[in-house]
Amino acid sequence: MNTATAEVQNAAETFEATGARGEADALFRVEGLSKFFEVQKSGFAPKKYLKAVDRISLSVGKAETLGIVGESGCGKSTLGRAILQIHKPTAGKVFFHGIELTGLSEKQMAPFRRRMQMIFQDPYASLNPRYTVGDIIEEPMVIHKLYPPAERRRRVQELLLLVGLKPDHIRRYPHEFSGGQRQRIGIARTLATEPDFIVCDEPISALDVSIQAQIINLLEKIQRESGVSYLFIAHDLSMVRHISHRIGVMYLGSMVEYGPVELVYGAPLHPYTRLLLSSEPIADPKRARATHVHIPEGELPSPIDAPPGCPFCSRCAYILPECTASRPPDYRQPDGRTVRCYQYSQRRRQQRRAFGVADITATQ
Amino acid sequence: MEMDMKMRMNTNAGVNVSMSMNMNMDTNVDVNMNISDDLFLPLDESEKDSEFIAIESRSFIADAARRFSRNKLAMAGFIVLSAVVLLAIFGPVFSHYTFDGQDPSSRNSGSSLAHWFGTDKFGRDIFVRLLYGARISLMVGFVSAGINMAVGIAYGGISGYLGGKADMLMMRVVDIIYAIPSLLYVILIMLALGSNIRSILIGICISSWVSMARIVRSEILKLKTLEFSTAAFVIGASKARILFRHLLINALGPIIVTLTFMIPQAIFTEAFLSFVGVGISAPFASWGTLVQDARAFIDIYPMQVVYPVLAICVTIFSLNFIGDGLSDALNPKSRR
Amino acid sequence: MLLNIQDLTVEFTTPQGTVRAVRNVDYGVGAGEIVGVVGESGSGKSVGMLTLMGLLADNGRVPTGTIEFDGRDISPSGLTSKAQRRDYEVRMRKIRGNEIGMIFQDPMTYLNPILTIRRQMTEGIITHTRCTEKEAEHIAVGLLGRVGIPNPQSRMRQYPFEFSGGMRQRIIIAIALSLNPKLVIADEPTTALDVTVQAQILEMIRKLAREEGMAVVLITHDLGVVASLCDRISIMYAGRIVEEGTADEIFYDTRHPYTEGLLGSINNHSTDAKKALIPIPGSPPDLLKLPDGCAFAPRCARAMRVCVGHAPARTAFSETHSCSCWLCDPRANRVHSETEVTTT
Repeated sequence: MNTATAEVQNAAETFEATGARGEADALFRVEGLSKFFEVQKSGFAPKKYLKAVDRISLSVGKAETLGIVGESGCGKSTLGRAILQIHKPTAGKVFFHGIELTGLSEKQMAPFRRRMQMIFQDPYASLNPRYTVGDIIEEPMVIHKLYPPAERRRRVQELLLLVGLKPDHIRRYPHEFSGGQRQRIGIARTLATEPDFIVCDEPISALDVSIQAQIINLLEKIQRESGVSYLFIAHDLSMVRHISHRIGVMYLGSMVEYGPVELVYGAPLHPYTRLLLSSEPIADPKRARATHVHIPEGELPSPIDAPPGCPFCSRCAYILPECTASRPPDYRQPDGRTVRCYQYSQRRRQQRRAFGVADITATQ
Repeated sequence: MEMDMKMRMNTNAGVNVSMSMNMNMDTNVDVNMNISDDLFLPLDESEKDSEFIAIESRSFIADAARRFSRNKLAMAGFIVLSAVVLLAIFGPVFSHYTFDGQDPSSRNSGSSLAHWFGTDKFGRDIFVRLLYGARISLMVGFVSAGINMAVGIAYGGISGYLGGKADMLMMRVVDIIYAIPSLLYVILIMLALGSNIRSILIGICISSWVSMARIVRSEILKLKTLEFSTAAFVIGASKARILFRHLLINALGPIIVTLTFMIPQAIFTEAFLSFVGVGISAPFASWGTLVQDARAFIDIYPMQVVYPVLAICVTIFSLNFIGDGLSDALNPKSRR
Repeated sequence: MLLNIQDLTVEFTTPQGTVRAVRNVDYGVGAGEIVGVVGESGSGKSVGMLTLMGLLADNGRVPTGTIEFDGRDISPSGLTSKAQRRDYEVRMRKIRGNEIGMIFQDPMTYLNPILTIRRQMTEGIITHTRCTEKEAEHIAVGLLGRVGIPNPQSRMRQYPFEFSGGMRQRIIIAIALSLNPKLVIADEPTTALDVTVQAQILEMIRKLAREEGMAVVLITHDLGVVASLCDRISIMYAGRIVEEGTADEIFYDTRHPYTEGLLGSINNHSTDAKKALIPIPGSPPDLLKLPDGCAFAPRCARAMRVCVGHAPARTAFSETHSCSCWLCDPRANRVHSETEVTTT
């Protein structure tokens, strides 16, 4: 297959993928979002790009949690920041309540800032060390002029109770708390403005195991009570499964697989999703002994100035001729998932069906 | 089977019994016969405090003040400097001598009860002149440091926070100012505006704010990548709010430390200028002019030189000790 | 026992007061055994092993404890005279790196950035075995091949920054293995790495232990890592071992409420149903002000009055399984069942 015809087919199938998605009424919708960073080693060399986020489309409904998993450097944090317009996206559109955010000035963004918030990874760096807990949680209310000033302190104490801290912690400084307690202070701050949508950027990665479950349960409780939606970014597969309704798997800027959590975890399609799931250690000695662990080979290639093909093709066991030629588009599967892999193009699926094989592992 | 048992009482944690048992025992041995059965009732929730915070709450400034007060050298510096400042302010009030009151009857006299540090060639009391000199020297030091701080924080803060092209441009201006010897400005300004405090202040400030600007800029560059600055952006804080309420407040430590080292520098510059003769003009006295005046008689009346030099040394030493102490107190991690 | 640590206590003097990082802890590691030490931050899981290596920070003290390695006494406690301390240092220098290897958490900072891998690898080999540089280089190439670095000959000449995190961790493992140690202490060897790389490194550690008969102490916070890899597991909380046993005993015959809590806090992605997480409430205690009695009591759902003020004794359930908790006391069951009868 020459590249020209391949591109035509890609375009057709990309249309098939995106056109079929009837999620225009979603709370948060992202279409073909890209964020490239310019990296230059010397002033004279041609410009190089790091494709941190490459043509990603997703949506988050009301009271829904979309999990984003991937290894370090896959662009998952950049995706979260590009969605919140902290990094201005290179291309693509972001809709919030049906209104396009991309291209708005910071002034025009102001009313939306209140409704979308972020929880950060590092509970040590995300709280201003010179502020008391009360000042930290009160600040969003001051900025957005919520509640009469006299009432704000009472509201801060309510929020502290909500996240499981004591109202008399209000005068303390962040460094006096443990990591989990600080993370809860951060959560209280994001809740101060009653947001509809919260990007959780690896909120549990820096915490101890026993504390991680506390935070997950707290986030779930908040969702049940207030109907808030989460974009939950994590590298821990098991915890993200627990909290998410749908899941997106990222690899070097691409969303390689995107769909309901049961499908992605239960029957992963993309070779990278399979690799990731089989790498997770099993916290159950008997099953761990019984499971033959497939030990993956290779490591992440450099994301800078990546070759034209599929970013995963250097580690993929099911590589096809077209994989090295151009980046695969998102292929929508019959079960509603999208997979960015040529193995799941209509043509390849039909081929497999013709040979009577169901899974890509069988074609080898 | 209690043979293998070791018991040890730890005094500081109540009855802290620890024992190691031979592993092949399969029965549970009760060694704590004194523990009554009712202790095995469930603990009430109210008796647990699982969110207990042991350390007492202290603000950053209170914490720094505590660390500073434990630093003996810095405290000594602080006490000496306070004494110098108090003497400079109130000393002349209680003396019946004035800085320009001449007494031809006792010229170049040595130390006596009437004139503690003696008199100069016009019969002026050196102790009082020293105190007046302290007023000028200290004022030059503090005022110029204050001006430097205001200008440096504003310039460095904006440059660091904006980053990119604006930062590049603003820092090149700083480089140019830095490249020209500062004494050159000072002397030129003194010549143009005359020898008075105002022109000394302008001369010192016109070049020395750049080091403050550089410090502030590098701090802001470092701080603005931290997550709390992104957090402030996400909650909708304006640029000015992020810069002033979040970033600069965290750069306070290095700013204060730089400031305390700027004061002695300014005092020294003033003294130097007065000594070479372009500073304060007679009959006003600064420590520099006192040295200059006495220089001619250094062979005959060496003490007239020694007093002002000592005053300069003691003050600059104190300020440096205070600066070191503050830098330890404000950045506890940088020690060792 | 290859390594036998008895009654080890380690304290640190800080401006705020004395931190008791490890309190009366016993460890034993047999030859060729993989032992997991599991605990959260501040549980003292690393401090004990650093003490064994003689790598304690300046403000650390060892008031009690005996350490025996391969039949030799290497206790760092009770070193009062200068001669004793020097003697201890001499003994440790022979053992450290030579008989006990160490793998650290952060592969980014452990290697010297301005020296080639060749230089960093051969250095230890030459000082400990007194072989020539050529021989040392030959050994190093073999080691790099064994830990799965392709083209070891040419990659030896490269600098650490030219390697990825996973590759650097492999180099550190190769350095740790370079003198055929009897014991390797791996302090969170995969925490800084991605899951796919973690799987590779863990598999390598398992293979090396099984094939070379090397004993491994794996310090980690991740129960998933120890479940598949370790023969025995010690669970630490606030400086004490609260429960120890084989992997099966810890996972299927859990005795200590803290271990229960840890297991309740994790979600196994491969289990079919989404299980509810049962987290441990509250926060870990401040080591400056440990509660009297059991340090876990304030967070324990089944705490009893005795837990406050009285430290629990160790109860053995089998040759390998033991637990330090008042709930293991026979009276706890009796009183508990009585109260349950009266309340229902």
